[in-house]
Amino acid sequence: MTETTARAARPPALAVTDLRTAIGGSGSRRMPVNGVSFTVSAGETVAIVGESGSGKTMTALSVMGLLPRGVAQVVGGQVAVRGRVVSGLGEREMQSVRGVQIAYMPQDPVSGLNPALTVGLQVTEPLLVHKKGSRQQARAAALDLLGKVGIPDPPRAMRSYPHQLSGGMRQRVLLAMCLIGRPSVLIADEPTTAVDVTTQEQIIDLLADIQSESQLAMLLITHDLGVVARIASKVLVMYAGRVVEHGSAEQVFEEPMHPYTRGLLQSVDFDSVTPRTRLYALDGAPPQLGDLPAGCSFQPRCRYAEEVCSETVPELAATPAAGSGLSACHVAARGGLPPWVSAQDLRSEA
Amino acid sequence: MTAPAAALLEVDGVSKTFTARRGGLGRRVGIAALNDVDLRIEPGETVGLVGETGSGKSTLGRIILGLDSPTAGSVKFEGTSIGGMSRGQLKHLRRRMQVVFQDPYESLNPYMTVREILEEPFRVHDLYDSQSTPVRLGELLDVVGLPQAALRRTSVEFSGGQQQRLAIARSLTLDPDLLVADEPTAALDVSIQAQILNLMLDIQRARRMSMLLISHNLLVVRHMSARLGVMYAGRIVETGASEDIYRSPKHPYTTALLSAVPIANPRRERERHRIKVTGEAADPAALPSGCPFHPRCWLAEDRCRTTRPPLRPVGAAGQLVACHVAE
Repeated sequence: MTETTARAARPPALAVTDLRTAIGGSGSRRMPVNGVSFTVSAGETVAIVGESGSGKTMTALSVMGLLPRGVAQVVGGQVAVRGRVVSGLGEREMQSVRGVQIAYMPQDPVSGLNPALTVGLQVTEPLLVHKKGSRQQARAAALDLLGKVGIPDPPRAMRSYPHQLSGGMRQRVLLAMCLIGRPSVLIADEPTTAVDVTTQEQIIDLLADIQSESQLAMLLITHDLGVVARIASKVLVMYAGRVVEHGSAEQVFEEPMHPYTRGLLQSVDFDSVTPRTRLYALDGAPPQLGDLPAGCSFQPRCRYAEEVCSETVPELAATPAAGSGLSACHVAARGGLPPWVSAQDLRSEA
Repeated sequence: MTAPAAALLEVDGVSKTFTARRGGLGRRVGIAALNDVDLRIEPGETVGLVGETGSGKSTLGRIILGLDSPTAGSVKFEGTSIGGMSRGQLKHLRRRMQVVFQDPYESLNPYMTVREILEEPFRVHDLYDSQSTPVRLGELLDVVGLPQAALRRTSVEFSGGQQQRLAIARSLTLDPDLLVADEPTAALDVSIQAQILNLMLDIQRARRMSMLLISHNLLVVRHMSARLGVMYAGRIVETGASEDIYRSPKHPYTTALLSAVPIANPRRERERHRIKVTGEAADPAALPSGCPFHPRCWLAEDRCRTTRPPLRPVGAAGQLVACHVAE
């Protein structure tokens, strides 16, 4: 990857190269993560967008070494944190990486927090486990951090149990737990799916603030294109285990070069259609990993599909279109996609 | 308000208070889930209800369906109060009001075949006919875009989007006059959401059915319904034509809600001016005095802390806003 070599002097906070994760044995092997590559630099937010089953959470779990044992395993590729290869490390070594260099904030604050332990115990635990200070120091750090993530009364929150807090507050506690070990990389998996819109806005703004302040490298996993547009600088679109589009947020939203990305953007573009008329909708549903179509996985749902699309899997590559990122599409690769005219632009010209 | 011909559904001053114990063994507290809510749905009309968790929108839906009874106020279906109905009348009413819930996986029996799921309403209401019912099931599958072969399968064999199509088919079996759809697309993927919304638009248009769409997603509600109500802490705080509210929201909460919804375009996200609201939604077990939104409101004045603002006309014709300050 050109970007990696250009910055070779200082390795990115997170570099994932050709990551492959498999589920099942040789007979029924499925690949929820199939050749995923990206980098996240300090102070940068990279978003992985995709629908359920696209492989976005499996990518995150693979990076963290948190795949369910005996069910899924990394079978290829490399993960490096600040230049140090961590894929292939044993569980004990990985424990010294997780929470300290790279932290994972799970989707659901209810399962991310232990209901039987106070917030204080849970937030200070990463520091105590990694022996990074005394109990008093850990407590001071936790109080400070709970304040930073917007908990109104940190000493009281420390004594509370998770069920005594609202969903938004639990999400903030979880964030504090992730940040207390001062990681270089934070993976936030659907951080706002379980909360209301006004809380979502607060959490997203908080993540953006903390990130720019501490130069955290953030990997955001989400299905919400609006959230991506609000805070991500780079975007990967995943479909059936592969990255189908990869570029800066501007490139992906303003000049999308994969028919799937275009379909997703159009299906949430309420502003471009008259109220109470049909929305643009992609046909069909994402394929099952055990039953992928030949060639491009998106081909059966694609309005631009050609013969070659059902024969060979398209490579993620640059397209001739100016201002676009990388796209895994045969038609885009030969400049065959019609120009993308965002409905918003049409409206503002009219 | 003037009431001309009887609406299909008329909710009049409905309040609902639940009692619960705080923290398991704590003292009993009253939870004011709904407070003096009015709502009218005309034949063939789609009305939207938007609000966040705890706003009371689902409780209102359940009361309309007769699944819960109000503490005060009345719900009238074609002018007849649901509260005073006999069991027989209620059973008959259930044929005419149907519901689609958020999670089809939870609302469909996994042990029943699709045929059994769709036949059940006919059997419950003694309408099963060995000649006409099978034909009707075939038609329903066509309407919702499921293959005829689906009849022999169980619901768990289908994807989330197909299960929601099935739940919609079931809701249509007895040709209802009112469909209550409570977060019908919240559990679905983005690319499937548009399919289901399109299906609901097609059905509603073809049948001239009335619909109450309950959702946390203001964009979805605005797209689907001509009129909408914004709920906060058990009250409707703004109501009117969806376009008027979307273009020019008058209640500060509506403004904040619209502002919080991110737009899928980084350039527009950067350029737009956002109004950020602090704090969390009011706790229905401990509602603030006066306007329930005042602790989070940047326009709040003294009277907002003491006096509850009634709905009053502000802005476009038919737009009502429960705010002292809005103009």
